[in-house]
Amino acid sequence: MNQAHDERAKRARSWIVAAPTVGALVVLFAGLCARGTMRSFAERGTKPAQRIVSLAPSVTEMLFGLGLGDRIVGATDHCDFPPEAKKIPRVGGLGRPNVERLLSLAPDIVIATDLERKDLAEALRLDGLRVLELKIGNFAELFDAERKIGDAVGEPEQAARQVREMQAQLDRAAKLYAGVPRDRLPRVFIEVWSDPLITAGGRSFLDDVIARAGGVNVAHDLERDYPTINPEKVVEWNPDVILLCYMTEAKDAAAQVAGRIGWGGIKAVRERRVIADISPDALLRPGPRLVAGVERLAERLHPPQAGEAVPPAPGNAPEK
Amino acid sequence: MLSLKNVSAGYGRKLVVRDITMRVPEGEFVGLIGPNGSGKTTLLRVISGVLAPFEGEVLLRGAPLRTIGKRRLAQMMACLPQELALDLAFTVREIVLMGRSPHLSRIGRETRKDTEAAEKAMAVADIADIADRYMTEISGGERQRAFIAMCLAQEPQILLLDEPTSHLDVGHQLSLLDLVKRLNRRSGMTVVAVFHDLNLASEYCDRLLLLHQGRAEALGSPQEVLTVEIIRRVYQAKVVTEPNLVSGKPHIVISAGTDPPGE
Amino acid sequence: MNVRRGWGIFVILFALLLGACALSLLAGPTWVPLSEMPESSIVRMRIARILLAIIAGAGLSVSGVIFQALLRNPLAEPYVLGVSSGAGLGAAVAIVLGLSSAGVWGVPLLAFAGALGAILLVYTLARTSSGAVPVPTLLLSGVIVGAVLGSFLMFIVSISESEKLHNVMWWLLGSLQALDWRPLEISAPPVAAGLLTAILLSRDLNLMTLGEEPAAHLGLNVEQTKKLFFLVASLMTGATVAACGLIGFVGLIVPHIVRLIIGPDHRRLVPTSALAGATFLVLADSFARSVLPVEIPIGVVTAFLGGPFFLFILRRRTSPYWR
Repeated sequence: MNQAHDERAKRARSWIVAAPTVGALVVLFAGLCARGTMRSFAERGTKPAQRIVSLAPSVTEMLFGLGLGDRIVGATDHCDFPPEAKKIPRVGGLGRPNVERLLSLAPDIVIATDLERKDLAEALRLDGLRVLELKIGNFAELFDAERKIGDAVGEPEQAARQVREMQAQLDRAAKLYAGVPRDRLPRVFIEVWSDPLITAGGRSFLDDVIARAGGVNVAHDLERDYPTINPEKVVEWNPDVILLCYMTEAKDAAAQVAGRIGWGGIKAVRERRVIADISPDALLRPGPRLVAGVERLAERLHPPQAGEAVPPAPGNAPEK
Repeated sequence: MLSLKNVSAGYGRKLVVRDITMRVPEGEFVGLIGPNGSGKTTLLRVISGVLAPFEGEVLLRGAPLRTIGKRRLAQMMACLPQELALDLAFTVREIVLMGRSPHLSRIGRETRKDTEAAEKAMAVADIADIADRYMTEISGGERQRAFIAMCLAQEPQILLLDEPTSHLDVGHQLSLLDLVKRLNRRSGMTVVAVFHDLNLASEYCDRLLLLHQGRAEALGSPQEVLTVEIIRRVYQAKVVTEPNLVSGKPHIVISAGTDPPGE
Repeated sequence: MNVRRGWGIFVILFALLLGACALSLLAGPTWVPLSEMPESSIVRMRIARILLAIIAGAGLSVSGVIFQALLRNPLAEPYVLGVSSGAGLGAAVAIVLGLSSAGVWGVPLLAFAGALGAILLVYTLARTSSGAVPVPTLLLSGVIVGAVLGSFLMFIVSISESEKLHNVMWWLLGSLQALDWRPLEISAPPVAAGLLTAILLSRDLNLMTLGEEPAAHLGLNVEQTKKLFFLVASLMTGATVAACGLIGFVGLIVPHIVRLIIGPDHRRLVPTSALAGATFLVLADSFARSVLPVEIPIGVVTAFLGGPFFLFILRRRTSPYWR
């Protein structure tokens, strides 16, 4: 009889231990799910954002393009276009925001691309902020980003219109080389930096830019974003065009490139097709002006033959 | 030959030797003795020119030391430092040839005259047979003789030695000092040497300068300087002196004491 | 053949250098058939790179020889002593101040100043009151100065908007890429001048290895000689860093091995170290740019070889050539 009593006691004890443990786990799990749900609620948002902090110049440009410049309460040090953007209070450098300043502006939403510290977005959300993280690696993603921003700020139709305009500009550029067979497209070497020699690989946005402008990136097969290469490779590739895309303007850059040891024989140098005069903003900033940059580049890559009239582009935005 | 006038010297703010005046005539073998910290090495460094005195001056053949150019000085005076830790595998001959540097122009090469002088120096120092061995391979005594040969190759008129035998065994001690004494007697080379061992100093030196706390406590022949009283005063040691059995010079006889010091 | 005397060793080393250069002409991502070589622009690019490697290799080796003689220490060389970091800092400051565009000498001049400042700092910190520079103190001093200067360098990079400092890896790991003749223009004259001075005054270096006092007793003006040689070594280091970034351990490995073969007489040690250093760097560079699809920074190769070598010397106390 004692044995049975012990048995029951043992079973009871095990229940006493098991029940709370399982209960705690259930509650924990539920809580995590709930947080997730709450987060996505937050992201979907109930009202369009009125106080926006932009953590990238491209985002700032897109917001101004949607006519929402006055809703931006914080921007990065590099946000300088359009000129009104320079008056917006600064929250830090590209990808490196000063979190305190950011929080002190009490934004409804923070829109970012390329954050240096990947956990920053998460940290901001835990502080209760709505964070929209965008990845803009090519034109498809650019248009997608435009739409997402449109949703977040409550201007979806405006955003869609912007996308249509950008697509139209790309189509116009494509017309310039419409009849050219693929193997006759100019081969372009993109030089992002000279010391060491850095080019844009197949995964970079610049690769897409070149493609849309009717060129072929000689480094397309290099899978990385911005690989460092041996200058010998450039001689080997023998590009038709060399495009200098430094982040800052560099005077005499074209002459320096032409004067490099062993580069005199490269086709682009011989035919003086070293392009150094397209503003870096127009090609490197993944924002709305990029399509204008593409068009300009396409014009340089496919100059009209003598005798052809250059069709005027309707409503061409003034380029910086 | 060498004259010190009221020389006071030290390091930084610390005064180590005070008001030393002495004259060393040419050809004399002078010993600098005294307890640890009495300033012997410091004084030697002043004489050799590497340490400038705070006060007073040193005259070499009547000319103040600081007015004599470094190369000219090295042609007249050679100094054997206390212990030269040589890490590099130069041969003995290469080391001895370095002694010819003061006689060579800055970028000049050695000539036959120099190699001959080196050979002669090695012969005198009795190391000609190990001329091509590496300095790192030979014994301490042989190394010391190699450095003596280097000094001799300078063809100096005055030789300075800083405790040249403190790390040698008795055989090497005597052989080295005999060599120096021979040079002193036969070629008239003036010698100023710091001694740790009073008996060695007594045996080999013509005169002794006893330093005590930086001052010249006594200056004179070994008989005059190495008295029981002076030694007791300066070294706080009770000893007995008696003439050396062989040479007749003063010899300090020590015995283990059982009385506590001060009595 | 007695290696310690005679001209045999120079002939051999020269031949080795030529061999290394020939090998280097073949090394690279692009294959150039022999028949095309004389006109090939790629070969011309490689020649520029080889020349830069020769200059840097010679300069760094002889700097190492000089520091080792002056400090009487086999572990002394520009990188370990923090001198390279000083040069790097000077160069970075020059770039940030915009001096790199204002004429070709702005950067090397400040690199030289940085190198000189670093060695003075290290020497002053490590020196005891009797003038000796003990091994552990010297190494510690070099490491600390190198670290502090390196952190200043990092600080400048982090606050600088100048895109020229954007790729700091280049600085810290060294690169012999020669797009134009500029790196050669700024490094060749100082290295040549330094090499010539060291060769002419190599007997003074011999004397210095005996110790400062014995050298003085042999008629050497020690202070003047020390200053001159620190200047020369800093000049060569500064020029090399300005042209190629930080390349470490060359001044450590090369003189040590050369000394083992031909002995410590600087009248032979200096020119042979220069030749051997040039050969070493030419070979290392050939390796660095051909063994992987991605170019390995030259400083990585030298550190890879030099790190273990450094430990090896540190532990080896029974070497007959340097205790």
